[in-house]
Amino acid sequence: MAKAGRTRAEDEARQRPPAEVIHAEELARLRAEDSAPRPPGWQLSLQAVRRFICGDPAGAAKVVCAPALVERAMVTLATSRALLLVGEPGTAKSLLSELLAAAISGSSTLTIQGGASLTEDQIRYGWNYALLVAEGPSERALVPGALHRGMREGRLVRFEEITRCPLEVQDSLLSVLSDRVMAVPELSGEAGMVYAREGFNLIATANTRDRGVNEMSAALKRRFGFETVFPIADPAAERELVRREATALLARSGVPRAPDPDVLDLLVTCFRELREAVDDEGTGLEKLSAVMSTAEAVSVAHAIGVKAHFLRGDAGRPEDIVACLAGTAAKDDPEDLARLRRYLDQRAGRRKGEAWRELHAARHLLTPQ
Amino acid sequence: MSGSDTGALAVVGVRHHSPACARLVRRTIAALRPAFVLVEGPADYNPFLADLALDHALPVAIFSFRADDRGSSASYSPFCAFSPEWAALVAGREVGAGTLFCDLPAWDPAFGQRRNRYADPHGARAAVAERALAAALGAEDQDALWDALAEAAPEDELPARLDRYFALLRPPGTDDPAEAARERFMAAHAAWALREAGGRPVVLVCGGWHAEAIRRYAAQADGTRPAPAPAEEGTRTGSYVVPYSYARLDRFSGYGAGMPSPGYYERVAADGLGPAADWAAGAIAAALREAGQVVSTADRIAWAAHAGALARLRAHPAVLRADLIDGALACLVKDALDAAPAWAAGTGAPGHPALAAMLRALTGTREGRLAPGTRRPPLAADVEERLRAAGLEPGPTRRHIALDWAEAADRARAHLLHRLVILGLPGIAREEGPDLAEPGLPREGFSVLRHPHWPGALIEASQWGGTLEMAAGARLATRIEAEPDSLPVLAGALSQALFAGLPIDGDLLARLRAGLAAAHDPAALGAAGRRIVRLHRFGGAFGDAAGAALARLGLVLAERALVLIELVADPRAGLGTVDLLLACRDLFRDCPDLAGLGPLRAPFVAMLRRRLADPGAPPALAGAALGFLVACEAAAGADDAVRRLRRFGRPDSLGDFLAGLFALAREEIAGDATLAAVEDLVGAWDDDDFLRALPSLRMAFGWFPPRERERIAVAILRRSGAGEARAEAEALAWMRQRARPLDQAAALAHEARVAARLTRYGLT
Repeated sequence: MAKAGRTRAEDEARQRPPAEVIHAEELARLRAEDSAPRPPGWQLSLQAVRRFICGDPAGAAKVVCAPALVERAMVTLATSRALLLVGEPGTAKSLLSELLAAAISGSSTLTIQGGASLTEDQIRYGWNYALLVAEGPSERALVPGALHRGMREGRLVRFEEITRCPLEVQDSLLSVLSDRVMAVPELSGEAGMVYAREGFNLIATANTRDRGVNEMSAALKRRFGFETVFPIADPAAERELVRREATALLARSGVPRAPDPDVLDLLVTCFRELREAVDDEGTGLEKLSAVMSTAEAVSVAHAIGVKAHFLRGDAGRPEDIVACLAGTAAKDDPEDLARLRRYLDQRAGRRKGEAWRELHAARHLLTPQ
Repeated sequence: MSGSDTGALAVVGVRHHSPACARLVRRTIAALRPAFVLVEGPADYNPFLADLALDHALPVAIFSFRADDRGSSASYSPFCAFSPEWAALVAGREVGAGTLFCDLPAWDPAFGQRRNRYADPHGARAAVAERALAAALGAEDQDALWDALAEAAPEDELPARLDRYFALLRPPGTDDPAEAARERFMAAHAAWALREAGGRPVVLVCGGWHAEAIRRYAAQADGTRPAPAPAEEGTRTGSYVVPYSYARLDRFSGYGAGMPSPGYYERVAADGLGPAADWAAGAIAAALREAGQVVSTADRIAWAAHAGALARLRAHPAVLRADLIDGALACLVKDALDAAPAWAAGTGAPGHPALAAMLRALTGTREGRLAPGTRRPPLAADVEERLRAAGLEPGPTRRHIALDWAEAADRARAHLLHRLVILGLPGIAREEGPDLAEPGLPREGFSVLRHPHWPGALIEASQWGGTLEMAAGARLATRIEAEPDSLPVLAGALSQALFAGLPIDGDLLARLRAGLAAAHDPAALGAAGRRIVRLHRFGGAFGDAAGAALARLGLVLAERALVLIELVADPRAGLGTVDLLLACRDLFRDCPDLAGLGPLRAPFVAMLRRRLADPGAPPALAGAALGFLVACEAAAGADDAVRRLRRFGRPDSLGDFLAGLFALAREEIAGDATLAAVEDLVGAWDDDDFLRALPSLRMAFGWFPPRERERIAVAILRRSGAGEARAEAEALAWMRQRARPLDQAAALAHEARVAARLTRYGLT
């Protein structure tokens, strides 16, 4: 349901509306039908959140992952710990966190983007310096950060890529997560203490490829429940997801046709084999150091569709995969390029089927760029 | 319902090792008071069923084997206190029913290569059905599904749920070709029992997969009692009770079984789901703490809350195993996992050490024990009688036994102990014995201890034969059969057979000769060759026939080495030739009377001279060739060695060259002249060169025993001007270094970097 003052047309003109806008109708229906008890401050019961994310007989799942993972994540959020989603890049951690926030708090926009330059006042609060100079510290002059707002309003706060922040910024979360209170020493009286309302909690995501969770302080780790998100285990589910997402992206890019099913099948198979380092017969392959995630597969499928439609007017050919793989799989590692070349040379040539033959025939396109 | 009647036949389809099914079986038998209780188990064991009624400590298993000339196979039918099959046997006896196993013997072709009777392969369709059902009910895997469906079911709903569950896995009316023979056999038993029962009921307990088919087939059977087909001519078969353990029962560590975490399910059966969850939480926390992991009280509170909330969310009436371990995963594991957790994947190792520890804690440590008077196979009596006669009975404390092959009595005892080692019996270990080639008769040391697993292992070893000699020979033969072309396996088997006094198989010798003659890897040939030459040098210990066979193998080895060493060109393969040249050195130097070796000597020496002069030869090979010539020809003395040493004096080749040289001619060559030459060369290098050469130099000097290394250190210190006393003290300190060599090398590298930087800024 779009918020007041905004029209549906405005929502649709956005490049990427947040989950609560995309799924507004479903969320409203779930809220109306939900009769199970809700944790304090939650807009939905746990059962309804599970239905929203994992799907039910009527609707498809919005994230392909084990239902038990979603259950554990919800229970962690409903008890006193914050949730930390860890995993390889492109395993839909951020999407899961967005859906959880949208379902539980009704909004997923209280987001802190972690990074090396993040400072403490960006997540807690800052000041409007003109007002500060004119009036001194006052509630009017205070510019609340996402954490401040989440606590005051009883909403979920998302903290993306938490391990990319300096350790001292991470540790500023400690008192908030254990005592559920934030001191604003500049203000006096009641305004000097922000107590978290029911419904406040934190969902952080961390990338196993970055600095990782090992460097997090033990004190902070203790306040998080960890959930590892894995690449999609079921080939058919991954293929379906890539098809759906790529089709949607292509539609937004003005490409009316869906990706060619054979090319898509080939693409997902290549990605899975290179990611798991095992081919269809169970023979070991060389593992690429680059990330071969589902999200990466979607963007390659998107790129192939755009190129094929606008340049040639078809739906994509196996040779396009080779051209894209050079840019995806061998981003910054010449070794990866060599591994990829061996894969196309030695493995693809042995496989049956027209698409594999074309892929093998196009292996010369794999040149360093 | 599961216990529904076909006439008076009640077939109770169960999941193996399920406490809920065991309760159902007990209730059914107590209510029906049947004339017969038939149980899915090996019918060939029926004459010995009284053995199972003895006062065993569970878990135990029926161990069945079948052996012939070509090999042997074995399988188990395990029982624990909460197995429905065990419950049926006990309850059947209590109500005075005729209690019988009704399934085919374990060696029937219908079982294929299965190691566990109760691990039913259900096929792809059933797996799909089970996954779909699990997904529909929100369970993550089939174990979680089973717990929610059956273990947590109200008693009166269980039969109906089981019926629907098994009907989903295998739709009623379908035949399973892979299992039809077993199902018809069980059904024929049921029909026979019905006829004999005279109107009283008959209860048949079997895997739920078979239940509906057995009901159908029983109606078609004619009522004659089926007998298991007798074993084929020339095969030995048998079934005996053996002690089993929870560790073997658990799917995560043992053979495929019906249910994981037996320790946990024992509590479920005894006390119910709630107390079992409490026990499991305590066991997991204790196991993690023992492993040094922090499980604080706060963690345990959070975990209990989490597990309880998951159970409520999943509409479970109590905290089930999946809730508990999911809660533990969320609250106790503070790391990213490398792989999806094992109870979710259903196969493979747990993704994290903490998860492995948790699952082990739930496995439990219970070990079964047989009651006195249980029937045992002939091998057990044979082994124990021989051990008693030889005065080698394993006792509660470890005994160390020293044997000298020069004594005839010791030789017989050595044969006996080696045969037990071949069979892999626990508690018997060879602790010392000849390793490096040394002429003369070997001395050996064994340790003998009565291991807790000894009785079971002894019974299980009877699959290899009825007497110790037969069993050891058969065991060795299967090892060869498994890898008939592997030189290390063949040479190892030959050595084991000789030490155990087993007759040497002509086939083994032929394979070894062919393997040696066709070997293309110098390292593998060298390893096998050293073994064979060593055995040959033991001389008469193994008897004349063995001596002649070993001499022939030695000759084949020398002939192959002559060809192979000439061909080695890859610098990395150089070190692989050292063992081969060692074997040849021992052969040419110490076995001059070996018939046929004389004519090979001249070409061998000529070949090595060529390799030594070859600038492209790998340094290690050149060094070993020189070592061979020094050791066997005495033609090239230390002077020649020093001259050649300089040719390989570069940092990347000196270490390898010396490794080859010292390996073959350490005693002859390691005079002061050689060492001084090495010192000169090394002294001229800069630090980078030295660090580069260090690993291979360490390897080269590794051929010296510590005493000689100390002597070398003294000599070096003396040459650098240290007084005698100081040199000796310092050499001693070098020999007993506290810091690891790698750390020292790293420190050296650091110092060099610091020095370079100081120089760069003009600070020296």
